[in-house]
Amino acid sequence: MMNVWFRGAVTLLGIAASLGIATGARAAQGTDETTPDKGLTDAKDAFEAAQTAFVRGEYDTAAARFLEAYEKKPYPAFLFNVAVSYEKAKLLEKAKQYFERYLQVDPNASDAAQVKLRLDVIAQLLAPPPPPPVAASPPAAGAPAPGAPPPGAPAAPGATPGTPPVAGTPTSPPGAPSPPPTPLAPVPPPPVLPDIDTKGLIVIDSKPQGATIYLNDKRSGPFGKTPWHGSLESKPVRLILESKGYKPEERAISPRSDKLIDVYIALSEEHYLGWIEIVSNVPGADVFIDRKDIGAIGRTPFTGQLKPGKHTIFLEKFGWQATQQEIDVPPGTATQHTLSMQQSQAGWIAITGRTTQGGRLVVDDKFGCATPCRAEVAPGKHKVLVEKKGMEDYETDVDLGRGIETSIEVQMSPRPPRTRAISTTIVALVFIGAGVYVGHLSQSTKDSLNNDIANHQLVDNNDPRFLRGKVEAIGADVLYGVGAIVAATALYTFFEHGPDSTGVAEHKSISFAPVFGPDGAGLAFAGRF
Amino acid sequence: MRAAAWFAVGMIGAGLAGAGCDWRDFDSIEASTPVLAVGPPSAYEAPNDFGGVILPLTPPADGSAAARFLGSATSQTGLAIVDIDSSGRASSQNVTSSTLDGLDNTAVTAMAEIPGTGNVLLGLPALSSQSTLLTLNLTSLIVSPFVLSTEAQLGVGVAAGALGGAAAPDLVALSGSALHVYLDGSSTSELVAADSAACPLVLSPNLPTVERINRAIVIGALAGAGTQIVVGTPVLAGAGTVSFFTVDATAGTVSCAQSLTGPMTGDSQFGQALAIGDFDGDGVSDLLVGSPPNRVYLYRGPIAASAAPTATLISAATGGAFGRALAAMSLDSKPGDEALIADPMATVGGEAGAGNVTIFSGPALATKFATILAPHDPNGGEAYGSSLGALPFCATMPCPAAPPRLPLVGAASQVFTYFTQGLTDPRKK
Repeated sequence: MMNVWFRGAVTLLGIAASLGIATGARAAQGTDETTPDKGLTDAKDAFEAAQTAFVRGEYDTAAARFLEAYEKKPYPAFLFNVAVSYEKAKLLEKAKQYFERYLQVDPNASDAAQVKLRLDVIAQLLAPPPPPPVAASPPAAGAPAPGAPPPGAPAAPGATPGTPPVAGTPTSPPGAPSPPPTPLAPVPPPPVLPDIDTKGLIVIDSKPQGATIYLNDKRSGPFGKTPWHGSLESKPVRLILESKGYKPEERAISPRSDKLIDVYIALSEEHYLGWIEIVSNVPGADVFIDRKDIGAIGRTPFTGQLKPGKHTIFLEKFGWQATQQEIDVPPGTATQHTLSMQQSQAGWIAITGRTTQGGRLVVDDKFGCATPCRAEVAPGKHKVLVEKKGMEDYETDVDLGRGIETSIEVQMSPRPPRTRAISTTIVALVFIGAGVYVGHLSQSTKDSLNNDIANHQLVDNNDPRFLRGKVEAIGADVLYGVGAIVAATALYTFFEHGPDSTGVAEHKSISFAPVFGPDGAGLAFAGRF
Repeated sequence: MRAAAWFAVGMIGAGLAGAGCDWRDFDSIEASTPVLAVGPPSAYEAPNDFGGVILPLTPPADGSAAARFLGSATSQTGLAIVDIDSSGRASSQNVTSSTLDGLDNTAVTAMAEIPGTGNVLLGLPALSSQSTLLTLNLTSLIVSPFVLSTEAQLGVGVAAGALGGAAAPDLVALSGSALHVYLDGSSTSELVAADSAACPLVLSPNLPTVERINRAIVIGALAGAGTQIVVGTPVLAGAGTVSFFTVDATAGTVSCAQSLTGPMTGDSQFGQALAIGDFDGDGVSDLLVGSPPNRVYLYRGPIAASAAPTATLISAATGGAFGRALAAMSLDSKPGDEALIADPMATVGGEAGAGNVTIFSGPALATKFATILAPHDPNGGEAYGSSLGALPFCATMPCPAAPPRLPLVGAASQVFTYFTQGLTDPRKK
């Protein structure tokens, strides 16, 4: 009972939400979304009444209401729901009848296979019961046979097929002699119908009809054209409607199994914009308009509205030479532009690897691209350098063939920091500076002695200046030596390398083959690795 | 890249090596200093008592040294011999001997070279115990007992020379009260002159130790014919005397010839030091008598009895000991020797007791050298000039008959030799 109440509340809320969405959308978009179809309105009312009865367990009423809705609008989903209601009401014959009609009306339904399987099970349940099994030993007097209803209990019409009454099975009178025992054949378990629910319904229509419907993103391609009806998965989805000469519109809906969502969009004519169609001999090429830095707006073949005036169309695709074309878009007209792309005559060097992020590829001392990246390079021998601040350079030579992509996965190793080298240099300079100072003292002492001797001062060999001068000279030399060693260490540190950056190169041969698709034809590349 | 780094390192190292200071430059300068200061050798018994008693020696004939001298401690046994090569570099070694070791640490306070023998007479006086006279062989450095005596202070002054008799040099030793002469260097040919009023010899044991060591005694032809033994006898009070003794080897006597008395009041230290030189260049020896603390007297030879001094050299400094040590040698091209007069207690550069040596020149020593010898970096109590000597220096062999003599100045712990006080620096360059 609680489940029924809950289901009913959700249904009512869903209907209210649907109405609210529609009203809100109208207010926001300012476009006419009122359904002009009276039959659809009546069908919707009947659908909602049917759902209300369904959640109350009044399946007969629900079936009748769904049937009424179908009579207003012959959507196959209504027939499906009629069948489900009858199945819930255990009227399997009727359920079978409407499932079959559902398949008849919509033989390409996405759930046709499941419905057919369900019909098979229903047919088994409706089939005559199998012959009674022979008991291995007579049951005790007065005891019912296994699987039999209690004595005196009437066989309920429409009882669960798994427990049919054993009609026609004679019961032995009390005291009658038991028949001779016979072997008991195994009874197969009765088939079980899996649980089933009604279908929600999405009805999308537009003015004018024939608008292209996209779901969520134009990149995934057209979904259909208006008018469209059917069921969608129960998850939010964004509808995009686009029609030549009209301004595109978008709506967000939340399909549910118990809801009929009616989306009607009156597209406003937009004579200011121009309609362009860009096609190329290469399907799937990235389409850029005027600017490349904002990314591709679609892929070939591409259709869309464009502001009137001069524009530049860029097409790019790996393995092909990028091409561009200036076009002039007149207002309120549709124009088709065909751009031809030529197979690239070059090779490619691709640098991959997580550690290359933020580095740069230099080919033959010229900037190639910011890694990780791919650079187009003329065939031949090239000197490849991958450099990144704080990392050891990776260098290699590549002999690149035409149409060959050499992909190098580079593992960059950190370069030892230079701070230690700088601090060591400072220490070395301090030592050398001290050596210069002490050496100057020594020289002064020596000059003092020489001057005294030259001036006939009675300097003796035990003059303390000799010892002091020697100590100063040796000290200066020691300081010079230590300074030199530290300077050498600093110099070594400056040139010190970390572990070499490494790279693993793969050569891919890019070949091209013609391809034909639903939207055009062109060449596709394939790699041989 | 790494090869370049190492090349840079090598260049830096070479640059620094080139820019470095060569301490050997100081060795070169040190070898050519005008003054050679020599300290005691390692393991010397008294490191701070080396220059109190010094004795210049004749350079060895084998040319193993250009100059040689002995230095001795004054407070304990400690004797070292120093050789100076022709370039002016010194080497020294201790004189060790079981004989010296067995003398109860008695100091050698008087030394005299015995001419022509290669030996030195050593005096080890003792006030209350046995005094000793030893001989040191300069070749083998073997020390041999010469005289053992219970006479107080025997050996307080020693000398050697030709006093008569055979050719062998005679030895002279002073005690606290007598003069002993060992004819021909034989301890058994002993002549003794006792103290007398005419020639006092008694050295008071109450005199300060510094005034009793290395008692002045010289041998020379100072008083006319013959050779005299001249002995200085300072006293505690009154005037000291300088006594002249003559030896008659034939008669076997040593007798008082004459004496000089301190001419001035307060000359109690008259005779503290004696030096013989020909200061006026007349070919006759003159006598220089020290009378600390302020005076030195020059007696021109020949010296008559009770002669008055030819000249008096006076130091105006107070608190000094001018005349405590004397030496005579020729330092200029003029005839006559120069007199070196030490004042080991002089104040130099504000350092009391640093000491100095003044050089006087001229017949009457009236000219004072501009350069006063003193430690270059004086220290208080260094007692520079405690002893003086004239060091013969033979840069080439054979040594000339009259080799240049260098001032040799003893201080408390080292001995200074001056190479540039003469006309030329005799060292080999």
